Amino acid sequence: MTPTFLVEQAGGMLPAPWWFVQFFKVLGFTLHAVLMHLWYAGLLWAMVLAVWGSANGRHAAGRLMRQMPVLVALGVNWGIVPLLFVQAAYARVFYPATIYMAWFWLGIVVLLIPAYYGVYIYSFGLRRPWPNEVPAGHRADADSEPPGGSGKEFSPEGQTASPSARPAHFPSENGGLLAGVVPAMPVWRLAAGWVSAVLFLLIGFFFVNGFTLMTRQELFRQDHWQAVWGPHTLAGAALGTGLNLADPRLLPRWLMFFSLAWTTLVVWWVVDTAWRASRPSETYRRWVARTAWKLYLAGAIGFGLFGSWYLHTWSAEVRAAMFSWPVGVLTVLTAISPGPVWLGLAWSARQGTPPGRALALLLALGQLAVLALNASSRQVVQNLELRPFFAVLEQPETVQWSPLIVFLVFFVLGAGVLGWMLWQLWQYRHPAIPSA
Amino acid sequence: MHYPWWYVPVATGPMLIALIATVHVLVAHYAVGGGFFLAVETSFAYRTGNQAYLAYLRRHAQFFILLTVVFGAITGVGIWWTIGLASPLATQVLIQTFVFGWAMEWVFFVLEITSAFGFFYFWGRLPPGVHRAFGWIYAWAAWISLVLITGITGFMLHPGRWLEPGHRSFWIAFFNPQLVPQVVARTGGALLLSSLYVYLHAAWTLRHQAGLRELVARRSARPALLGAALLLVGGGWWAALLPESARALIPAAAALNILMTLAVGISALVVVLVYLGPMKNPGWLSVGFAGTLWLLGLAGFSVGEFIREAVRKPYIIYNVVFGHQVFPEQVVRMREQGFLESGLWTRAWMAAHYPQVFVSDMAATPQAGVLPSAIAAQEGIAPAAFSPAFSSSSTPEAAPGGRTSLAGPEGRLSMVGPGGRIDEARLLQLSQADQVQIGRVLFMYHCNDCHAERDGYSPAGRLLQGRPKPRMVELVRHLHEHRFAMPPWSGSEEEAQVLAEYLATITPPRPAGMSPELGAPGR
Repeated sequence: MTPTFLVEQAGGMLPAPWWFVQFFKVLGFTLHAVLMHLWYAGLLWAMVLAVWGSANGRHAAGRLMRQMPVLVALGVNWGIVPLLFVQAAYARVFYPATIYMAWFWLGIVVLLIPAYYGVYIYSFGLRRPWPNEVPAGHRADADSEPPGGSGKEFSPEGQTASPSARPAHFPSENGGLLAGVVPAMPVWRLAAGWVSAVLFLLIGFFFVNGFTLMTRQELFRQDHWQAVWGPHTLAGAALGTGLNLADPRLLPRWLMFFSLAWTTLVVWWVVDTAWRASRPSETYRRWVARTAWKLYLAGAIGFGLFGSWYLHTWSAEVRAAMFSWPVGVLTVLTAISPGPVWLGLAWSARQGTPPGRALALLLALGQLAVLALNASSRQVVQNLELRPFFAVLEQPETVQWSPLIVFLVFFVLGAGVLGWMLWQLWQYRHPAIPSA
Repeated sequence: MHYPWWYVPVATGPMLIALIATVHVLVAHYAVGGGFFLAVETSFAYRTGNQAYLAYLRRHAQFFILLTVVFGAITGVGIWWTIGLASPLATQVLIQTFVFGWAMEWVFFVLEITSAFGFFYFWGRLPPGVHRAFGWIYAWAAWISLVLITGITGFMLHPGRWLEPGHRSFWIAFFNPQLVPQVVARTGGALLLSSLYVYLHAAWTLRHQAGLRELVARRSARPALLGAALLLVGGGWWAALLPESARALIPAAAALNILMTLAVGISALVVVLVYLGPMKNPGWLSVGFAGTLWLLGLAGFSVGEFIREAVRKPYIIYNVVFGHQVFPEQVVRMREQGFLESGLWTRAWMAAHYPQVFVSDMAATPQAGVLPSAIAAQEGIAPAAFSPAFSSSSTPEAAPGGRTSLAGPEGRLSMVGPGGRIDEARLLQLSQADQVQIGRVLFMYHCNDCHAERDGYSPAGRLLQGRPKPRMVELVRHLHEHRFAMPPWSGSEEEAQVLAEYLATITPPRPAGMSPELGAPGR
C-alpha cells in the first residue's frame, strides 16, 4: 500500500528558479561551514590546548580565540542565506520537523547567546600577552594584530598591561584548583570558554536533529503518526519535545561533520600562521608544520570512518542514486576530496619548512573545495531522501525577476564595498607607531 | 492547517514571538541610531581634535558591539526562529513573497558586521578619514536594513494594493501603505532610543569626568529631540494609514486604550526630561537620571511594539493569513468540509484516535446539498470579505492574474489518508468524553494562537466564565460577529458543538453572589 504523507502538495511556489535556490543554498552553506567549523571543532580544541597544551599549543589556541568573536559573528550571519532558501523551498518539511523539536530548536538561539558571550569573555581575557602564552623565540608584544589584539590596544582602560600587572586572583598564583595547569587565565573566564565549547557542540547536535528530521519519512507518514508524534503531542498539538534520536543517520552525520570541521580548523591554523601580520617565530612555524598534517590526517580518517557509517544508513534508493552515473562522480570526489589537502600538508612537513603564503592559500582553496563538494553532495542526498514524499525540484515557480536582479546588484555592490573595507583593514593591519 | 500546531503552555506560542520581538527591537533600534551617533560624533571628535571624546567613543563602540552584534543579532535570528515555529504558514507566505528582500537585507548585514568590527578593532590604526568612512558605512547599512525589514512588517499590517487582482508583486508588497510612516517612526525611535543608551553609558563610565559627560549630554540631546519629532510624525501617519479594523481596535480594546495612552504619555515624558535635562541642564545627567530615562524609553518602546502587533488581529498578515493559520479564502470550504477534515495534522490525529468517524468518500455526505456559497450567504459572509485578492476569479483555484491561490486548488487542503473522510454527523454520536477530547484538538488549532486554555495569556476559560453551553455554541458559530477581532469560525456546525463541549470543561461558573440573580444558567 502506498503510504500517505502529511505534506501539503498544493499551493505554494518558488519565488526563484529552482537552480538559483539550490545554488545559493549550497554556496551559502559552504561559506557558513568555513566559519562554523572553526567554532564547532575549534573551541574544544582551543580549550583543551589552553589547559593541557604546550606553550606553542596555548599560543595557537589563543590566536584562534582572539579571532573567535569575529568568526562567530560572520559565521552566524552567513548562516542566514542557506536558512532563507531552506524556508523558501523546503518549508513544507522544514516547519513540521522544527515544530516537532520546537523547544530544542528554539534552544539553539537561547544557547547561542551565552555561548557567544562566553567566547567574548574568554577572548577578552587573552588581551594581555602573558609570557607563558608566547612560544619560544616569539616577541611577547608582536602578536598584536586585531581582532583581539594585544593588551596595549584593547585593555579595558586603554592602558598597556604588562606581565607584572597580572591580577592576583589568577589560579596559578593563588594555588587554586587548576594551579599549575592553567597558566594565565582567571578560572571564570576559562570556564566561560569551556561552557561555550560545550554549548556550540550541543547547538550542532540540535541542528543535525532538525535537518535529519526534515527528511525522515516516518515523521510525515500518516500511519506512523501515533508512534512518532503521539508521545510528543497534547490534543493533537505538538509539545515540541521530540528529538531524532532513533534515526540511525543522526550520530554518524554529527560525527562526520565534527571530523570535517576538524580538517577545516587545521587548514585555518596553517593559513593563519602563514598570513598573519606579525610573523611568528621560526620555532612556532616549524611546530605548526610538524603537527598540522597529523591533525588533518586524524580529521580525514574520522571523516572517512563516520562518512562510511553515514553512507550505510542511507536507504537503498538513495545509495543507488548516489553511486549511479553521473552523481556517483560527485560522491567519489566528495569522499576523496580531503586527500589533496592532506598531501599538501604532508609534503610541506616532509620538506621541513612550514607552508609559505602561496601554499597556504592553495590549501585554503583546496579545503573550500572539500566543503563545497560536501555541501553539494549533502544537497543531492537531501533531495533524494525527500523525493518519495516531496518533489522539491518540481514545485511551481513564480520567479520574481526584478527583485532577483536588484538583489544581485546589491550583492555585487556590497561585495565591492566589502572588498574596499577588507583592503583597508589589510593595509592598516599593523599598529600605528606612536608619535613622540 | 498545513502545519502542526505548537502548544506552548500558559503563554501561547505567538506570545513568545512578541516577547522575543520586543526584546530585539529595544536593541535593534539602538543598533541603527547608535550607528549614526558613532559616525557623527567620531567625525566631530576628529574635526575638533578632542582626544578625550575619542577615547570615550572608543569605549562606547565596544559597549555597542557587545550589545548589538551579539544580543541584537542573535535575538533577530530568534524572531525568525520563533515565527517559523509559532506561525509557520504566515512565515511561509512572507518568505515566498520577500525572499529577495531578506536576501538584500543579508547583504547589508554583512556590511554592518564588517564595518562595525573594523571601526572598533582598528581604532587607532585606520587614518581618520577611513575610520569615519567605516562609521558611516555601518550607519547607512544599518538604516537600509531597517527600511528593508520595515517593508515586511508593514506588509503584515497592511498589504495595500497587493490584495487587488493582478497586483501580487514584490514591489507592491514592499511599498505598502505602512512602509514610509513606519520608516519615519522607526528612524525617529532609533535616534531617540540610542540617545538614551548613550546617556546611560556616559553617565556610568564618565561619572568622574563631568565636562565630558556634559558634552555627551548636550550633543546627544539634539538627535533625541529630532527623533521624537520623527516619531510623532511617523506615529500619527502610521495611525492614519492603518486598515479600518486596526484603527477600530485601539479604542475598542480596553487594554490597547490604556497602552496607547501609556505609549503617548511615556514618550512625552521622555521628551520633556531630555529637554529639561541633557539639553538645558546637562549637569543633571547622573546614573539615576539616565537610568530612569532609559527605562522609560524601553517601556514606551515595548508598549508601542505591543500595540503594533496587537492591532493586526485577527490576522497575522492582514487579509492574507488568519491567526489560526488559515487563508481567508479557505474558510467557506472548511465550514463545508469540517475543520478537522481540512487540516493535514488534525485529520491525522483523528485517523489515529477515532477511525470510526471516517466514512468512504462515496458514503460521506457532509452538509449534503449545501454549497459553500449557500453557507456563506447563510452566515452573512462573502468570500470577498476575507480575501479580495481571490474574489474576482471565476474559477476558485485560480487567483487573479492567473496565479495559483496560496491556499491551493479550490482554496482547500489536499485530501490525505486512507479511510475516506470524516463524517461530521458521527462526531455528535461519540460519547461526551470523546467529544471533549476532540473539542480540545479544535481548541488547539483554532483558538490557541491567541488564547491559553484555563489560565495564562488571555485564557479562554476565564473569558467565557459563566457562559452557558448553548451561548458558547452560538459564540463559536458566529465568532467574527461576536467580535471583529476574532476570526470567523472555520469548522462545521457539529464541530462548533464539540468545541463548546470542551470549552464548558475549562470555564468556571458565574461567580456567586452577583446581583440580580436571574436564574441559574444551564450548562
